[in-house]
Amino acid sequence: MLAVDDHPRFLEAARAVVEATPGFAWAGGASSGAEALASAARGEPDVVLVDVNMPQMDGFELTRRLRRSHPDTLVALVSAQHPDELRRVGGSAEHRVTAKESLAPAWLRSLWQEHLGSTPEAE
Amino acid sequence: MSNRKLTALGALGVALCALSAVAASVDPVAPANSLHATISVATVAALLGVGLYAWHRGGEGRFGQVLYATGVCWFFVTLSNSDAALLYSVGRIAGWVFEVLLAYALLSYPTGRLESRGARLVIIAGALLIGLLYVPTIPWTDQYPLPAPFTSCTAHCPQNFFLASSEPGLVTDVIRPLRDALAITVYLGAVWVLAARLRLAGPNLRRTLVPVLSAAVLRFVAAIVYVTLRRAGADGVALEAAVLVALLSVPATALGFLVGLVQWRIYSGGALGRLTTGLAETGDPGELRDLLALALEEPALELFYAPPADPGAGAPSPGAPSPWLDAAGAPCADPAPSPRTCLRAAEADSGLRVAVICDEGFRDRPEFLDAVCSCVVSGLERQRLDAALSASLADVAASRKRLVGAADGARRRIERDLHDGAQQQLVTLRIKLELAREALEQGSPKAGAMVAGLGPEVDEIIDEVRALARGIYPPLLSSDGLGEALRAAGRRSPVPVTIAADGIGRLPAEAESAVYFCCLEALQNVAKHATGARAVAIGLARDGDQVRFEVADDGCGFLAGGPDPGSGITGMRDRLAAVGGELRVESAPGAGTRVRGRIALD
Repeated sequence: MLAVDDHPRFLEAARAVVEATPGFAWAGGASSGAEALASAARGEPDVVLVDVNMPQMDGFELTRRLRRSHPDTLVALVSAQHPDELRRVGGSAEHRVTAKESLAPAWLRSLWQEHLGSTPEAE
Repeated sequence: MSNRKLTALGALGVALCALSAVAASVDPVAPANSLHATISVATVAALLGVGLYAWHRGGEGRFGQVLYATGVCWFFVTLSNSDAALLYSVGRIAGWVFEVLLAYALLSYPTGRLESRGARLVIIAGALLIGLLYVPTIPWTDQYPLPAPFTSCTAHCPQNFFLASSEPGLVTDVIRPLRDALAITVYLGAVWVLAARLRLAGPNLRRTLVPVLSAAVLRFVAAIVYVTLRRAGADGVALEAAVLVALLSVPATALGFLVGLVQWRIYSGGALGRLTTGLAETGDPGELRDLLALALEEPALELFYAPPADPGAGAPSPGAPSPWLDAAGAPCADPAPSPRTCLRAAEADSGLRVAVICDEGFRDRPEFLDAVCSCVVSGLERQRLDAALSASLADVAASRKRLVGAADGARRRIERDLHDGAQQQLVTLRIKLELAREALEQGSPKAGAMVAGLGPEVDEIIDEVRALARGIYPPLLSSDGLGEALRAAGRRSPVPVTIAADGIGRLPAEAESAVYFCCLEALQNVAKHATGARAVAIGLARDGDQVRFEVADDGCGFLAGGPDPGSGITGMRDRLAAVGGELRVESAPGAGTRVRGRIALD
């Protein structure tokens, strides 16, 4: 799993969660959208965890691009802002955004299960 | 002039006319001369009436007095219509004095003052002539010269009442011809002075001078003619006609004065009316000059002005450039009149000065020019205040906008600090807490270390929040005041700070926070810009109803008066201006920077 956020602390926490989740492996952290696209092209991660609020390219834009270039990859959006506030930002209607603090092994697993259920050919 | 005084002087005039008529009516001589007597009595009324008019209406008050005195003198002259020797003699002597007085009135019109050297010379010569060659001969004069415009008597006139001894040959053969010649010379001098004056006057003043000056020239020419004819021994119609014209020229002069005075009133009233009406619509000095030229019908009129000196600038140094501007607003030399013009200047309370340069003839009308100047002053003053007001309103609006912008900026900064700092830390803390909980649940050996790792993270968050809160409003400032709050800020500064804040005490909260944040901004500027600074001295002082502060460093300084003081300094100025204070920044390359401010406390 790849995590993208301009806050290194969050990347550090995400890594700890991934490492504590059986079946998941840490593919690395990226501090910007551009870096994430490069990493994704190199490592072909199964899951990309994207923070909505980033300078230059925001999480929505990055998600759109990842879905285009890696249609099979699971992209999950997270944010430190309240989800209600995010609705005003463009793109939030088509994306589900999860609160950052919900990041936990159980959540990752259920996300992955859901992803497998919706795209069986990815198996 | 008060109404009582006017009434008294009017009554005196009526009484004098009556007395004059009585003196003339006892004249037993032929009816041919009653015309002369009637004219001479009417002349008393004319001179006194026009004199009173000028005196009463102001503007030409002094001239009115001169003319009134001339009229009183003419009353004494009319006594020579009497056949009583005493009255006749007094009247004839008064005739000489009258000549000088009338010349004075004519040459001093309209101010009542002899403005030119030529005019003064003529009057002094006339007075000397009367005093030396006429009056001293009275005791040795058998008979006063005849015919004369001063008396209706032409033959068999009364004797000289003051005769001491028979007329010596010296008087008859030397003094009389000499003084006649001299009198003609003085009359010619007067004509010359008047003609010069008429030639100098511009079209506007010529209108008011012409009636007076033509009457005067008539008067003097008639006098010259009859004195010459009499001296030449001529008699008959020519001499009689010349005497009659000389007599008639006296009331004609009074009429000339009246017409001139009324003409002037019409002109000046119209000019000032046009000026005050147009004043409200002028937008700049150029328009004001055009209005003046139009209102006064003086196309060549020039207008200059000097804006009030900057109160902070002190007295101008001798070598300083002239503060005067022309009507187009271009700097110019101190205004000075050219030979054919005159200058009148005025100053407003604010220190604004104006100067009007116009036709030389207006020199005789200082009250009028003062009225014009004060109109100009009030017009320019209004324009200046309008401009100052809109400039300061624009300043206030800009400052208000910047303050609001600064407040919004500060809020955005706090939001970002919270989002990037404490919030992110809390988010990761929450995630790690969950991980630790799961590890504990599963009995993982790492659980203890994970929980222990959370402690320092919480401490970090506490520090972060504390620093953020202090940046929003330092708690020391509200609890302990400026001195302590600045000392704490000084301890955090990378450059050592000394603080002198003795006796500053507590101030109103808005003054304390304004001073605090200005000092803080100055300290940050020292850290950011004052390369090489080794020490910063902050001084706070309270004197009377104001608090002053100063932040001085010994860093590299900068070139003062640069084009852009920077948003930090603008923010400080705005902050101080909002609480009635001001800021000065003094700096020079290599000489450190000194930021000084003061706030009035009320």
